[in-house]
Amino acid sequence: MTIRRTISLFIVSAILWAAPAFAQSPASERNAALRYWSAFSVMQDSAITADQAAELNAVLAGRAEYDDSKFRQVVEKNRLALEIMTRAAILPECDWGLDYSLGSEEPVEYARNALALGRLNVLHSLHLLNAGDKDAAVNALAAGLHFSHDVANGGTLFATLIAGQLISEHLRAATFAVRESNLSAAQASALQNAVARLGPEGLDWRSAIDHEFQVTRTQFRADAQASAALTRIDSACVKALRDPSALPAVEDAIRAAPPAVAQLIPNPRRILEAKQKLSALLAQTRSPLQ
Amino acid sequence: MPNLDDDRFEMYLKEFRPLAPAPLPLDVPAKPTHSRSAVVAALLATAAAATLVLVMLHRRGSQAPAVNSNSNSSVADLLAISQPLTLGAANQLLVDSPSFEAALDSVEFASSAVAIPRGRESALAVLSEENPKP
Repeated sequence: MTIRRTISLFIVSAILWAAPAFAQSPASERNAALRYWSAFSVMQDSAITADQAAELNAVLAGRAEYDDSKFRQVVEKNRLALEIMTRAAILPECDWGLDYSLGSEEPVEYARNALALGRLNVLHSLHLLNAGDKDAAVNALAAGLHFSHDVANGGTLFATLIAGQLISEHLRAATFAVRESNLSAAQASALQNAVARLGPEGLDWRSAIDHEFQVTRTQFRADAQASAALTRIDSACVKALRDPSALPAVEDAIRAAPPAVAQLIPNPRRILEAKQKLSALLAQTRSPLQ
Repeated sequence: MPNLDDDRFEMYLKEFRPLAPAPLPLDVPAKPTHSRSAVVAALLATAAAATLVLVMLHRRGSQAPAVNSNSNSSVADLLAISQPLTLGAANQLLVDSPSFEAALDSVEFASSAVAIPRGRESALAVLSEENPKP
């Protein structure tokens, strides 16, 4: 009897001890997307002139130098949104919670908001470099690269293109930081690691294509001919992503598809160009960081 | 023996005739009379209100951030500032725009808590467009 009681006590103690380890942390502590939404909700707009708008775009494209006196206010007003984004970028997951069963009706407002917030972060990092706070600037760039990558998570081609655009703009700012700000070895290494984490292609283009076709398929569920055509195009696209010489086969498959299907397929040549452009910029940015 | 008082009283009661009730003395405004001058005044007021609405709509249109200067305006119409962005609209942008860059150019920041004065633009709308304007 004493032995049985001891064994029971031991089992209960073991369960109580192990329970917290098995309990999952709340989604808000794992899923960065929830915090990113929180950041979007506190973004503050500013009124700028047409000249400032043109200059802002030139800065983001790397064609003009950042003038802190003109854009400091825009950045300062969004300090909280940027802080929330930076903190969220260290979380292990990013699930935007897209419901693909809704097909083309599924809202993707997050992509539109992400483009604005990501670009604010580029301005923020340039503002910090201008103020001489290189550690903070490097942190902002590293977080921004992670955020940009997260934007594409589980999304279609559209979200992936926005993510690619944001990554490119952060890479240009990182190159500027290395070239102009005389970063320490530790700072350069932090940037190097952030770029390395993106991998050689930066984004998961295959996943983007899969989701893209998943949405299109929902529109042709009852049409066997259209569904078969979509399967052929999807398969050819996936091959072309690995081997660009297979691109003509994708174009042939699109031409052979029913018009209702063909008119919903984004130009595959442009998809490959976007993918190659990002890979080239990643490779180009890695060398000055090493 | 007949009761004469009763007979007279009965006769008196038979003279009773119900009267139509008068309207209750409530404080209801009198019905307007449609005089010629009142009709003219109403027409003028309607015209003035319509003009005011048209002017306000025009001003609202001109105050919206002018970020879509590219040719795919019909596609950009899908993403008017108050429209929610959906997967279908985003896909249509990619298909119909002359380039992917132009497609992203059509994506404006959706909402603005700040009233943008005339001649100025929304910073967030500019940040969420793709191509630099010349």
